[in-house]
Amino acid sequence: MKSNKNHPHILLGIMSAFIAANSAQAALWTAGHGDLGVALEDGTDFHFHAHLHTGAIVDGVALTEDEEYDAGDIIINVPESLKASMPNNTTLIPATGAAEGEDIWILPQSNTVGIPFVGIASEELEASDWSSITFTLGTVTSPSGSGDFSLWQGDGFGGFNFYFSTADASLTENGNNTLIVGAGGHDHHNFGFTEAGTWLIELTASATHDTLGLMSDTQTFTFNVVPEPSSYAALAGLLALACGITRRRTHRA
Amino acid sequence: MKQVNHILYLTRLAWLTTVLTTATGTATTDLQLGHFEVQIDYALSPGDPDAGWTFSISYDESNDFSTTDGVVRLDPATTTIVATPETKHTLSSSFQGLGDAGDSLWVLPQAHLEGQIFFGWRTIIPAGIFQKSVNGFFTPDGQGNIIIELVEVAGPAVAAGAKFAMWESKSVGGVEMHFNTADGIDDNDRLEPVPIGTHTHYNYGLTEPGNYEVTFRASARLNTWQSDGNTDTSSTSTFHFSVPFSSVATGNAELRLSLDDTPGPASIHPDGENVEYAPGQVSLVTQATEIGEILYPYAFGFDLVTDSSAEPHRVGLAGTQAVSFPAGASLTSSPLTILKVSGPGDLQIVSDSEHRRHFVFSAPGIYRVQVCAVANDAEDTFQGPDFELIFLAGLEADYDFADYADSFERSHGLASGSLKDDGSDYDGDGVPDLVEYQLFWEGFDPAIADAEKLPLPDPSEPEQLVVFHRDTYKDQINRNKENIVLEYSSDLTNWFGWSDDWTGYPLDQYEVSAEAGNAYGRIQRRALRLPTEAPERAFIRWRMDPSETK
Repeated sequence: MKSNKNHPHILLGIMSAFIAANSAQAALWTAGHGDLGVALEDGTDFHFHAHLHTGAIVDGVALTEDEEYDAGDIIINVPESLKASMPNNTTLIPATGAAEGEDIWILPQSNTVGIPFVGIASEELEASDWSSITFTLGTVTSPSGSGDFSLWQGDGFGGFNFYFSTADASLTENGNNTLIVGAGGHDHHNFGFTEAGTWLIELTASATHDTLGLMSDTQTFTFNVVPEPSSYAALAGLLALACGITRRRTHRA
Repeated sequence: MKQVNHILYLTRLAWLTTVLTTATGTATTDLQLGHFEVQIDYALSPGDPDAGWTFSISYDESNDFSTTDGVVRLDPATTTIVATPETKHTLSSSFQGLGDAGDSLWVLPQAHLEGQIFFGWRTIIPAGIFQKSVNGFFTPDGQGNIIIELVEVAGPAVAAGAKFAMWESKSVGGVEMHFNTADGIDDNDRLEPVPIGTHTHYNYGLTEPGNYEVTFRASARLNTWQSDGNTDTSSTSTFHFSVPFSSVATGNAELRLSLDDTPGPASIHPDGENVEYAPGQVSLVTQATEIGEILYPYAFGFDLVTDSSAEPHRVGLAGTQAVSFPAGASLTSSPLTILKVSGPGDLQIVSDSEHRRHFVFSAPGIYRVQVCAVANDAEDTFQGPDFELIFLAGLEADYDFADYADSFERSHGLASGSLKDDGSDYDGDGVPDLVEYQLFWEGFDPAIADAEKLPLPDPSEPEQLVVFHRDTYKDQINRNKENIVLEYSSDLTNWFGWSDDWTGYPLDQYEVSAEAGNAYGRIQRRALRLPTEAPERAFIRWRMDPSETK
């Protein structure tokens, strides 16, 4: 099965070509730790963005310091290796929208070498100044228009706590596709996608500041769910969505 | 959404001496809330590779969990990880040998959840020092990895049968057990490979209240091109975990008596438990009891003991000296003198045929009873020191403000509704009723002006500002019940306290244990640690945060 064995290298070559073609636009985050998080910038700008940590792989290169990206300037890669077949699980199936035996790509809660380790964070906020932070799922655009996105954690006993579910919001912990976290923290979740291609996930972060009052920011994050090798051709067109976006970087001191 | 209408009151000026400002990197600290890690560092140590390992409990003031920036390390020997009330689960079915349906299991979760510690693992080791390993087989490698094993779980909880485990929640369901003492410790209690620069989280399970000493070993093989090349190196370190006891005795207990204050005038030992409590840190919950064919609805029975030995877990009792009488002294035939009873009804003591003394109350409510032991020796009859017992008649330890108000209103003959939880101060002493409820264990009575009971800086506590008792039934240090927060400020503008909303950092302003004993109960003795650069004078205040789920 020599040809199969070589597939990863061939695919890497194809991916590199796409990355090169889009390097002036959105960057591709393929491995390492980063968070989708909120910060209060310039005293009044409640800013929901991606904060990637040192060592994260972006456009094939390890970051040598933390970097921040606006939501439109980063694409989060979900590699084919994360594709699983939905088990016969009566909790997972309705909440993820994947039927038994169907494919689901799961960006995992656990830190795994070689893939993005995506957190949801409020740690850039001064906790003593803020209420809890509510992240609300907005419009989700799946590649076919009928795919499902979900976000969950293990409950510690082998079960699940869902926070986002396009398939059935009533199955989420708060019943309304929200994730509520304390200010000043960060955590990791499983991100589930039922099909390959480019996903646009709209999220709103909102919280109440002691003096500034209610603040909120809505952003759309892009996830690139890598398909079977035969589907690569379709990806070229999808990645082109990202063109025309200016990249924003801030460096930590 | 959280309400921001905290109750703020009682700003007081506190004089701080310079002694108060000292803090060391390894000050005794307990961690109940916030994000911390088991941290493993390695630096090359030619000639003595085992000396290159450093274990610590770390936190990150930069919030960058990938680099060494902002990492602060605490000494595992002086740091205790404590389970909060929120971590207690009742199993719905048997789980991994850790318990069966109905059993309690305390879980420090893999997820960052409200009212619970978020305790992960982190390694910061330069690439290329160690070889790569797979199932114990090593090959030279430009990155390398380490191996972590569970070596031993000891401590008095474990001696009494408690189990410890660490596992991972899997994305598609189920769990992967990494360490589990339920089936003993063997080669399976192993994490391999652990990357050299990683940050990840697991669930921890503890099956019983008490203290656990958990020893991990980190090991690796040096790369061939390093000095001491191809040498195996390892190091171990012990981490301390503690699950608080209930701070409750129900129906009956041993009342252990002494004739001096060392380690205390008395202790309460619930039957069958490996803990004893100082009287000021335990609730005695009555039960309906038949004595001499009479059914008493609110009774608590004591077996009076004068020659106990120290329990392995002690809440509020220092050292290992037993609470017992000196040689030659014994109880008289009237062994207890009741000095004072505060509560909504009357107290009588009824003895049964087993010489058990039953404290019998005439009405439900909260009672404070001051007593002392009466003893004699060959020459004299004399009294031991006074102490106060807290009884809950017809109430459980998690009684709410309405129960509290009802009890004190009846005690003082007040109209129902006189005591309120809205910031009102019935007795006009400057301490609102709600705060007197939260600080019950300081001796407050909401219908008596007694502001002098408010905890103030204690010169005998050189590293701590104010020592007080937190009742973690009333304030469960989560966001689903109201919280009492002791705050500090040097400028009356910026206030710092400790709560699930904002814990601060352990070596700055931080709330830590001030327990006299070696163990925790749900009634906890706490202290606020000052910033390392504390000014000579500062303000303190108490803040009540409402429940976020009201």
